Amino acid sequence: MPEIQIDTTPVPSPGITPSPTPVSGADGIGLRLNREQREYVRREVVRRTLEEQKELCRRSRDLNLEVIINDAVYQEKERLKTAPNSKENREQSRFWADVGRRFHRVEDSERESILASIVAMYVDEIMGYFNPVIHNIAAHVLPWGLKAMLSRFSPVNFLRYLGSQLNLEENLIISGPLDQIRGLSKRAALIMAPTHVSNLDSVVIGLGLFQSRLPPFTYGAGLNLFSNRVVSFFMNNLGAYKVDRRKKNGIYKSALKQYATLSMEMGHHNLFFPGGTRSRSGEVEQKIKLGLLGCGINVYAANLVSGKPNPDVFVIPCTLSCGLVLEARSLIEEHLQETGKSRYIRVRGEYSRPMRVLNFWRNLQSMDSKIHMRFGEPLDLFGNKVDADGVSRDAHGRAVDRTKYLQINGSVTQDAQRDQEYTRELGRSILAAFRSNNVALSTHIAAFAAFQQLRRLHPQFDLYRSLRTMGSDHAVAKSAILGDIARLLARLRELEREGGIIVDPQLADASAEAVFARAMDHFSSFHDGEALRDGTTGVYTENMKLLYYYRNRLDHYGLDTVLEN
Amino acid sequence: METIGIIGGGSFGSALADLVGNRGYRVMQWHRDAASAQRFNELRVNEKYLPGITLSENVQATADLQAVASAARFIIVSVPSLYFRDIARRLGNFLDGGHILISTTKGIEAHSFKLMSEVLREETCCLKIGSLSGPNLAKEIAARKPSGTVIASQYDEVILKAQEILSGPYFRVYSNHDLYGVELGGVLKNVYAIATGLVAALKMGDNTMGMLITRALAEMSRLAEKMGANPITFLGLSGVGDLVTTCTSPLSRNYRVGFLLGQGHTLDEAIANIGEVAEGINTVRIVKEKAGQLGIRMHILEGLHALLFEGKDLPTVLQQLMNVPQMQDVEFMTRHGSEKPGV
Repeated sequence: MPEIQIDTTPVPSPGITPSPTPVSGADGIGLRLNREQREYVRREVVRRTLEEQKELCRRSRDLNLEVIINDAVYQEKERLKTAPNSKENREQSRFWADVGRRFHRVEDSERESILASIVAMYVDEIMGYFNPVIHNIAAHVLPWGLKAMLSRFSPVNFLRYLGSQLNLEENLIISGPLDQIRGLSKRAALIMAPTHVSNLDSVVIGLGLFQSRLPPFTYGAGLNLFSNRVVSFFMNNLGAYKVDRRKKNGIYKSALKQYATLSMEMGHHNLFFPGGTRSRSGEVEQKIKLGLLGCGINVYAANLVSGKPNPDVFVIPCTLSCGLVLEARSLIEEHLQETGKSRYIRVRGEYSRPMRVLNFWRNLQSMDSKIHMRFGEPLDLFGNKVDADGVSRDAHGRAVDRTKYLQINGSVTQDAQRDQEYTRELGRSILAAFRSNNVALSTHIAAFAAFQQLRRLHPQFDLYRSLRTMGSDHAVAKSAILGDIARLLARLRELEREGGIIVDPQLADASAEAVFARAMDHFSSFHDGEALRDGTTGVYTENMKLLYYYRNRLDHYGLDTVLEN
Repeated sequence: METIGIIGGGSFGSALADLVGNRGYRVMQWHRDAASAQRFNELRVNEKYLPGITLSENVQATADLQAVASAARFIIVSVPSLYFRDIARRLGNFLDGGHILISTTKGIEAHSFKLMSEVLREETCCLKIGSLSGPNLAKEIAARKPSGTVIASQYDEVILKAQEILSGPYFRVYSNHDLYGVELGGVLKNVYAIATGLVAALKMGDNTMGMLITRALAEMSRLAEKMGANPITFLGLSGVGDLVTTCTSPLSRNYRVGFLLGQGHTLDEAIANIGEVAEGINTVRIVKEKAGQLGIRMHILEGLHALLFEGKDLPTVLQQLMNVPQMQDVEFMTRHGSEKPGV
């Protein structure tokens, strides 16, 4: 097989030191680039994206710049047809109409500059925190006295303020090998890879990282996150960049990947949700998107070739667990309607209303409900665990020389197919870490027991029929549910000893009754109590789908067989 | 001259060592005991497993795993499934992520239902892993009769490298990315060789044989699909190819076990008579359990299980088999699969 040496041309411009220490504010918070750095990033992403597209054309006979631009024009026009009528969207429509008129009958060199202008527009959008429109929205109406914060505009003060407002010290339980992660952050670029449950995750994680004294991370955040003004303000402040999952054309995807790659090359720590989107079904992630995650290998290879002193990129899996989820109702609906998965992404919902979010949070606090943020063991890009000294370890704890994965006959070689498989392996390790760091909470356990009981009432119903038809006239005896909760608890504790899951520490010695009572406290306070009710006729649900959603958090642990036997 | 490693001094390992040596590579073949390695180096013949055949000059035997791992980047592992995990773990002490590992062992781990490539993945730090499977009787390869095989791996690099090293004038190497399906085919066919041996002994006729082999294929692919493999893989050399060879060749140990059973011997007598491990017998037990867990019907396999382990007699089992519901002939076909456009 031909050996292709990796292109080592990208050399950081003056003004950016290629050190693994993130370019950050003096206070260590917020990855804000200065004007010179910003210009460099913009220029470099445009150059690399252009290069990548031209390389694609060279490799494929059916592909040329005209086809690539045409595809983007078509997809963007389609997208804009259903987009809301806003100033920004009108501007975009004009932009694409203009491109659409120009790109056909021109020389290839002219086409290149059209492509460059498209990429430049995308880069500006991705680095959106410079977008004055967004800033205006953020500054428009802010609750909780945040206006005062705005005037001071210090991210550290902002985080401290928000943390104290939310009683974070008490409500967010952070665990995992924190010292190890802090240590590794000084010698490698990190990729934080959290599970994704709710739009509030980004805020919780941001605050959690701050509270755990971890270095700042650059976020790749879904555009829909920016629909809540508070979160939007928060994200912008931390230097989040925007990922618009509705844009599916090759140019956009390539620009996004090049941006993430460049950011890692500059030594920034990155955060992205490897599942790509919030878990619609409520399950812990079962699939990983390889796109952004795969950038890590390219960065590592380029760093090895250029002989960087700290070439490594490590991945930190992070599992978030919460007893109630703000958007549960719409998430499970979207899961059940095929449309929810990719074709239709809600930008506004429960989440976009700031007061609703605040009430939700206060509710959780009143129930002494904790959010659990668990960091898994750090991983290298090939799925091996990495110890505190930065040494990769195989399943038997033997040291692994990770540079060898990329070498043939002693030199680093590029092989996109191989690297994609490596990223798949990494994905498997991340998924395993998600599963074993998932915290089983009272609502999950009670929902699991109740849901399985209800299903057994009508074994002839398939899943969808039970979701549609089961309601308040289908009740099961509380004693039956308590019996099943007891059996689930026993199995979950056993699994926990084997390292397969975490049981909520607040339930350490809890009886089935206590678990059920705690779950009912939660369920009755939210979703209008629909998920589960404890009535005179027995225990029943008014929203089987919601129950299904909370039940799914404990799917894939073989618990159904525990109840059947 | 590049060095290729082969772990295992059995018949298949030796046949491949000879093949690779003849292709112009230096071969380092690991034997489990030093005396056997030394004996081979003196005689150039594997007296125990491949008697009478002088192997290529390029083959050198050793009992030192580390020596193989440091000399070779491409290593073929060909040891019985019973010792596979242990040897893989020991080999793993000397490997790094650049090594390519190929398993040729057609076996399954009883307690975990793991295939050998999965064992390699668990016991070493290597990711570039593949499997070689197909209608490959060691004696025929050693005798340089034309044969074909399949190299399966998720990595193109592994496939290309294996083809470069192994393919030659009497050996063709086809590729497949469905590693799991290819390996599973090699494991499952052993079960059906017992059944065809039986049918041959009972002189039931060629119609019976044709039906048996084809329905065996249906069962195999049904299980494989449920386990995540691509059922189309079973149309290839590692599926149909291996099945037909094993099910019709008196060289196959599993076929011989079935044949002896058909002649009225007990299972113990048959095993004693063969004198070697017939993997198919254990596989029947392991696969039956798995199929039960997955809720898949495998009638031929269930019949064999009844005959071998449940004390049922042959006429009863045969009668039951002829009475199972008659399903669609080809399962992975849509109802309108045969419609021509416009008809």
